[in-house]
Amino acid sequence: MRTFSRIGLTTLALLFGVSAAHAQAQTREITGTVINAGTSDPVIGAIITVVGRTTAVQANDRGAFRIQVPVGPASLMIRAINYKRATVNVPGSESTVRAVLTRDPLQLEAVTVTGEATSVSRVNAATAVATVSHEALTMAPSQSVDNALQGKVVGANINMNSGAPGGGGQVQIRGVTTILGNGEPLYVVDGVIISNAQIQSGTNSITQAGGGIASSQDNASSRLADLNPNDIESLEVLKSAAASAIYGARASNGVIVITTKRGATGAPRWTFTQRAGQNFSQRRPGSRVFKNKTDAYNAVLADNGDSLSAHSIVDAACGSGTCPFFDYQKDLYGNHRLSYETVGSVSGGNDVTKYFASATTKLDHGTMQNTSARRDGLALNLDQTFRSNVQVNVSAKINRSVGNRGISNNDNTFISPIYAFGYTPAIVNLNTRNAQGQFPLNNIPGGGGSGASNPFQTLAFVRNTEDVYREIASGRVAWDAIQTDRNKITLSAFGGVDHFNQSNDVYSPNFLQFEPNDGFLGTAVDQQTTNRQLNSSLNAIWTFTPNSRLFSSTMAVGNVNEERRLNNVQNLAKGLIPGIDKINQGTASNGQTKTLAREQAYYATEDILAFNDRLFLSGGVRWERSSLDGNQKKFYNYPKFAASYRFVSPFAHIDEVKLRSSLGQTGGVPRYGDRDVLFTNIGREGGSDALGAGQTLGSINIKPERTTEQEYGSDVQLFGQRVNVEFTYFNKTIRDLLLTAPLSPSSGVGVQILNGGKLRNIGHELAVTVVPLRTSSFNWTSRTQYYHLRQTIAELPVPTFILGSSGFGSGFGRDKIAKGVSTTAIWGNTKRFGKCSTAAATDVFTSASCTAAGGTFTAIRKDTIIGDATPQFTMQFNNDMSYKAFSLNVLFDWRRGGKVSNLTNNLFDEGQNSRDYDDKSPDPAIGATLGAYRYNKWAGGSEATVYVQDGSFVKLREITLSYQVPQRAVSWIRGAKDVRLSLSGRNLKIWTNYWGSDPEVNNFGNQNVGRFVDLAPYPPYRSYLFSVDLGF
Amino acid sequence: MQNSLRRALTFSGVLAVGMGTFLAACNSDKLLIPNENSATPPTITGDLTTGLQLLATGILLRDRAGLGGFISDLGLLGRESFNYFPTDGRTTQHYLNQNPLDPSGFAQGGFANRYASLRNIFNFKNVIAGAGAGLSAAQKEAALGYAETFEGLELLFEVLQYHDQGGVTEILADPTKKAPFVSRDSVYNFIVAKLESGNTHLAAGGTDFPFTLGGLANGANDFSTVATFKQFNRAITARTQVYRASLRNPACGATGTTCYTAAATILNTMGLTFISAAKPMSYGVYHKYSTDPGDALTPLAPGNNPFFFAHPGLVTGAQSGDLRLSKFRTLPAARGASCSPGCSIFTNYGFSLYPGLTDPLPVITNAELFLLRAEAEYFTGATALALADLNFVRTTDGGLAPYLSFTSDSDFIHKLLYERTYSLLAQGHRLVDYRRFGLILELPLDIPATQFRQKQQPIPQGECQTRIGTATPCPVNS
Repeated sequence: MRTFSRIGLTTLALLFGVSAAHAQAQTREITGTVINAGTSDPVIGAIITVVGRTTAVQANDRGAFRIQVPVGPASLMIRAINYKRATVNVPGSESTVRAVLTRDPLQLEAVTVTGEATSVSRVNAATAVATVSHEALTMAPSQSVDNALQGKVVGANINMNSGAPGGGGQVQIRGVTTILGNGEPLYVVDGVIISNAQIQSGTNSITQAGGGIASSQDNASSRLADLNPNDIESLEVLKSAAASAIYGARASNGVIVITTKRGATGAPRWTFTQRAGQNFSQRRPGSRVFKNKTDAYNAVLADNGDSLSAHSIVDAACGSGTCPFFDYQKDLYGNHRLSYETVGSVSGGNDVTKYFASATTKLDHGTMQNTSARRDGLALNLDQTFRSNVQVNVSAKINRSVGNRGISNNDNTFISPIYAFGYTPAIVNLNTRNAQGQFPLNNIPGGGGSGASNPFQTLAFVRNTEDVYREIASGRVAWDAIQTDRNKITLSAFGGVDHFNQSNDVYSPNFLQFEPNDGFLGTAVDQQTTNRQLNSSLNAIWTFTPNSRLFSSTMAVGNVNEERRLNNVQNLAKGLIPGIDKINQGTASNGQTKTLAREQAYYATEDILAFNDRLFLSGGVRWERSSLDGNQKKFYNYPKFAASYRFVSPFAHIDEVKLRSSLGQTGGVPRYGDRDVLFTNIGREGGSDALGAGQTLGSINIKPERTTEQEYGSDVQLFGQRVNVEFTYFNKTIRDLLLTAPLSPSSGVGVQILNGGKLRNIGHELAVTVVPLRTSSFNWTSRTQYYHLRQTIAELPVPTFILGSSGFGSGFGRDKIAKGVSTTAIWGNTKRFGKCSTAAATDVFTSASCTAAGGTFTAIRKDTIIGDATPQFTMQFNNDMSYKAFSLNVLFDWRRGGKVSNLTNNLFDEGQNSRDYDDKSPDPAIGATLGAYRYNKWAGGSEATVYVQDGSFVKLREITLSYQVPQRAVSWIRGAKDVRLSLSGRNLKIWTNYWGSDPEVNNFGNQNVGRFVDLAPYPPYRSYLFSVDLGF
Repeated sequence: MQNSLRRALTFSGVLAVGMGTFLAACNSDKLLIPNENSATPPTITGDLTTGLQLLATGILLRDRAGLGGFISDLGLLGRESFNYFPTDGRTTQHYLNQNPLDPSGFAQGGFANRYASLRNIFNFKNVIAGAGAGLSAAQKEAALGYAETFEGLELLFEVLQYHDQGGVTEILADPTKKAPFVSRDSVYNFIVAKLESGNTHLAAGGTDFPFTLGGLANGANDFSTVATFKQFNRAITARTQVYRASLRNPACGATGTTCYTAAATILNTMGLTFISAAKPMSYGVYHKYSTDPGDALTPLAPGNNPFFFAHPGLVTGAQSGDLRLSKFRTLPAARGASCSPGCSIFTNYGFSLYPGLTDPLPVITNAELFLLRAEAEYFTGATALALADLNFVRTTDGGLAPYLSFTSDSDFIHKLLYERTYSLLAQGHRLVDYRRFGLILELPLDIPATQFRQKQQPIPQGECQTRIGTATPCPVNS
C-alpha cells in the first residue's frame, strides 16, 4: 500500500508539474483566544476560518490562534465540537480578538461526510445524521463498540448475540437490505475500510450443533471487538443511501465512519484512566425446584430414559424426604472476578507536527467460569505539515484481542451448559470435586455416560481461545496545490490496510465425561485465519469560494480501489494422546476457505453552499465494478442527490427550521463464488475423493443489489436552542435482490443464485432533545428517540421459499421469503384449526381427547405466519444531568414487540425442568402443570406458537454518575488538571415478560433475516464499573 | 475568467484523465478473479481421467450418503428401530406422533439427496457423451452401465420412501425447469427399464471401468469389475421386479406373475447375480466407511450414533433359539426418547450389526436374494422351491427348524416376513415389506393414544412450494 501511495503522489506531481501557488494578496495577522462561556477555560482545538475565504487555523492548548486575513474588516467563524459556532467581526483597526463559545447540548456542530474526501457542517447536512461522541461511547462499560452503540442511534437495531465477553453483535441500519448478501454496515476507521468478519471458533466439533469443524452456531465474536472505544473521537452513522452512496456497491447497509483522536497544538496533554468493575449474570433461565420425589423421579426418568437408574438417582439424592436443590446456573455463571481497563494517552504538537498516542489494556471476565476477553492496544496518529501546503496524516493501531468464550448455543451432545441444565434436574451436586480433583459424572441426561456432560467439568477443562493480532494503518497525503482567496485545489492520496491473524484453539481433553461420544477420546481444533483488506484512493478537491457569502462550491473527483483477501484453514483431530492437544495425531480432518475480492471505482461529487449558508446542495455519482459481479468488467453507477434549506427564525420562538431531502442509490455486491457454476468436493469413499454437482447453481449474470432510498426530514430548533426536533421519513427499495431461490429438490440442485425481487423498507425516526434546565450550576438535557420500521417483500420472482438456517423448522418458527409479507415474518405450524367431528370447529388438541368424546379427529396443521422478529417500534430515553461537579447520565431502551423463537424454554420443558414447570396450567386437559401444558400443546412442533414468544423489553441500558474532583483537592497530584470519578453500569435492570434470559440473543450470530433464535445462549449480564480519569 | 480559476479547471481535467489512464493501465485485469474454492466444469474436462474418477466416486458417495437416513427413517415408521436422540424429542415425535406427517419436519428427509445423486449421474453421463476419443467404446459402455445402475437404485430408494406419491424420474438439463411427478407404478417401470438398459451397457463394457471403483463390498472390492458390478445390477433388478409384482403393478399382470417370473429367471440363472449357497448370508454389496480425512464414519454404528435402538417387539417376537437374536445388543439400561413416556415406549435393545465405527453398511445381500427368489417362486407356483429357499435362509441364518409347508398365501407371506425381518434386519425393509403385502396394520402401535402408523414419508414442503401454480404440481400426500 505504501508503494501505491507513493506512486500515486509521484504521478500526480509529474502529471501537473507545478508547484504550489500561494495567496499573495495583501494580508494582516489577527491573534486571539477562544474560551468557554461558562468556565472561561480555553477551548482547545477550535477551528477558526475567515468567512468567505479558504483560510483555516486551529487553536492550541491555551485556546490561542494566529490567522492571516485580508486588510480591512474581517469576519471570523469559530467552531469546535460540543460548542455552538460563533462569528466574530473584527474591525480593520483591531488585531486581537477574544471569542466566547457556549456549550452545544444539541450536538449541532459536528461535521458530516459528503464524499470520499469532503464534508459539511451538520447544520447544513441534507441527510439525517447520527453522530455518537467519544463521551457517549465510553461513559458506561461495554464489551465492544457495537455494545456501546446500543440505544444511541435512531434508525438502527443493535443487538448483542450473547453475553459472552468480547462482544459479537449485529448492527442493522434501517432494516433488512439483503436476504443473501452481507447485512453488516461498512465500517470505516480513519479512512480504512475494516473487516467485521465473524470467524466461527470450531466448538461445533464438540457440540455437533451443525455440520463441519465450525458452524454458524459457535457464538462467534466479531472483529469490532478489536476497536478501542477510548481512541474514538466520534462515530458517524451514514444511514440513507444518499449519504452512503459515496461508498458505492458495499454501502447498502449503511456506513459507520469512525474518526480516532488526533493531536492538537500545545504542550503534551497526558490522560490516564483506570477502570475496574464486575459482571453479574441476570435473568438466568433457572431450574425447577422439585416439590416431591415423584415429580423428581418423573423428570429424571424423562431425561435419563431408564427407570432403574432414575430410581437409584432420585433415591440417592432425595432419600425418603424432599429433594435438594443445587443452583447450577448461579454457580456456573457466578464468576465475579475483577475486570479492569487501563488507558493512557498523550497528545500535543506544534503548528507543523501534531501527535496522539495511546495505550490500552483491558480484561473483562465473563460470568461463565473461565471465560474472559482481553484487549491490548497501541495507537499512534501523526499529522505533519510541510511547507504549509502539504499535510501528511498517518494513523496506526495495533491490537491483540484474546477471548475465552466458553461453550454455549445449540448443541447435540448435551455439552452446551444451558442445554445440559435443561435436561438435568438440579438434585445432584455437580459442582464439587473429590480428593483427586475429579468432578462427579452427570448421570441424568440421555442415560448418562458419554451421552451427557457435567458443565462444571466441561468449563473447567475445555479450552476455546481466540487470539487475534490486528493492525489497522493508514496514510494520507494532501497537497494544497493551489490556494488563492477564492480557489483552493487539494490533491490527496490515501492508502489504508486492515490486517489480522486470528487463531482459534479448541481443546477438549480425553478424560471429559462426554469425550467418547463420537467414538474418539479427545478433540482438538486449530484454526488459522488471515484477513487482509486494502483500500486506497486518489482525490482532487476544488473549493471555489467567491468573495461573497452568496455561493461556495466544492467539487471532488477521484479513484478508489479495494481488495479483500481471507484465508481460513481449519484442522481437527479426534482421538488424542492423553494430555497432548496437538492436531497431528488421532483421526484428522481439515478444511480451508479462501476468498479474494477486488473493487475499483471512480467518483465525482459536487457540494454547493449558497445564500448565506442557507441552501445546501450535494450531488455525485460513483462508478464501480467488482470481481464478485458476473460481469467483472462492467461499471455500475451509484448516484446521489441531496438538498437542504435552513429558514432562520421564521416565526417567534423558532430559531431555525431546516428541510432536507435526499435521493441516492447504493449497492450490495454478490458473495464470493455466486458467479460460478460449480462442482464441489462432497467427500471421500473407497479411497477416492468425490465431486458432485454443487447444490448452489451460480449465475454468470449476477450483479449487485441496488438500493434506492428517498429520505425526507426536518430539523427544528426552538426556544433559543432549548429544543431540537429531528424527524426523518425514509422509503427504501432494494431491487435486483440476491436470492438463493430454491429449485425443486427433484432437479438435483438445491438453490439457484439470481437477482430479482424487491424489498421495501419504510420507516420513521424521531429524536427530540430538550434542555429543560440550564443554569450556572444545573444542566439537564433530555433526549427521546423513536424508530419505527415496516419492511415488506414487495416483489418476488420465485415461489415462497424457506430461508435456510433461519430457525429450527416449522415446529419452532423460521423465515420464509414470500411476496407481500414482512421480510422478517416468522412462519411455523399452528394447529388451531384442528377439528373434532363432535364439535363444529373446536380447538381439540389430541386425537385421544376427541376419541374420548366420541368423535373423529382431524388435525389441520397450518404452516403460516405466527409472528414477526422486527419490533413494532423502539424508543430510547436518555437524560443527562449535571449539578456543579456531579453529573448523571441515564439511558433507557424500550423495544415493543419482536418475536423470539425460544428453544431454551422448550429444552427445559422437555426436560421437565423449567423453573415455572409446576405453575398452574391454563388447561389441565392438555397438561397438568404449566410446563407440561406448554410442552404438550406444542406437540412436537405442531403448535409452534407456544415457543415463539414476545420479546418486548425495557432495559436500563446505561447509567453513569460522575464527579469532577475540584482542582484544589487534587493539587497533591503533580500537574493534575482534571480528575474525574465515575460509577457506571450497563444493563442493570430489564423489565420483560420474556421467559428466557434476554430477547436480544441469537443462536446463529449475525444474519439479516432469521435473527430471533434463543437456544442455550451465554446469558447476558449486568456490569458495574468504577473509573478514575486523570488529565495532566 | 480569472487566471487561477482557469488553471484550477485545467488541473481538474488533466487530473481526471491522468488518474483514469494510470489506474486503467495497472488495474484492468486484477478484477478477473476465478473461484479459489471449487472446481469448475473446464477443470473437469481438462483432465478426463481424474475428472471421471472423482465424478464416479461422487455417484457412489451420494448413494451412501442416503443410506443411514433411509434405514433409520423407514425403521421408525416400520417399528423396527428408534432414533432416541436425547436432546430433541422431535426426532421421535415427527415420525410416530404426527398425523399427517409434517412435510417440513424431520420425516421428509432423504428426497433432496437422491435427486442430487441423479443430477450427478446426469452430469456424469454428459461427460461420457462428450469424452470423444478420450474413452474407448467399451469404456463408455461400462461407465454408462455404472451410471444407469445407480440411476435405477436411487429412484428405487426414492419410491420406497415416498411410495404412493410417486416420484420424478427425469433430470432436465436446465435445473430451473420442473419435470413432472409420475405415479408409483410408472416410477417402478422406469427403474426396471433403466436397470435393464444399464445391464445392456455393462454387457458391452469389457472388463474394467475407466475409473477405480473402491467401495462396494464387506471386505474385498468384489464388485469393482464390470462383470461383478453387473451382478449387482441384476440383484437390484430382481428386487425391483419382486417389489412391483407384489404391488400389483399393471406391467406385472393381475397377479404379478410377469415380474415374479422375470425375477425368478434372473435369480435362477447361474452367475447372473451373486446368489450363492456357498457364501455367507451376509455376503453382498456394501458401502464402505473409513477414518480418512473427508471420509465418513458408519452412520448407524453405536459409537457414532449411540441413540439408534431396536424396537423391543423384535426381540420378544423372535422365535426361540433364533441365532439372529445375536444381531441385537442389550442396553445397560432401558432407553426412551426425550419426550417419552408420552410419545414412545422404552427399549432395552440396540443393534450389534455394525459395532465398529467404520463397519460397512449393506445395500443388498445374499440372504435377500434367497428370500426374493423364494417369493418369486411361491407366486409363480413353484411352492416347493420357495419352501426350500425360505428354509435355507431360516436354517442357515437363523438356526431354526425348517418349515414343512405353507398352509395359505397368508401363511407364506407371514413366514416370509419373519425371515425377512430378522435376516435383513435394520436394512430398511420392514416397513416396505409390510406395506407391499397390505399389512401395515400389523405393525405395532405401541401407544395408541398418541401414535399413528404411516405408510410413507411426506414429499418435502420445499419441493411442493416450488410447484405451486405450475403445470406440474406436487402429488397429494395420501
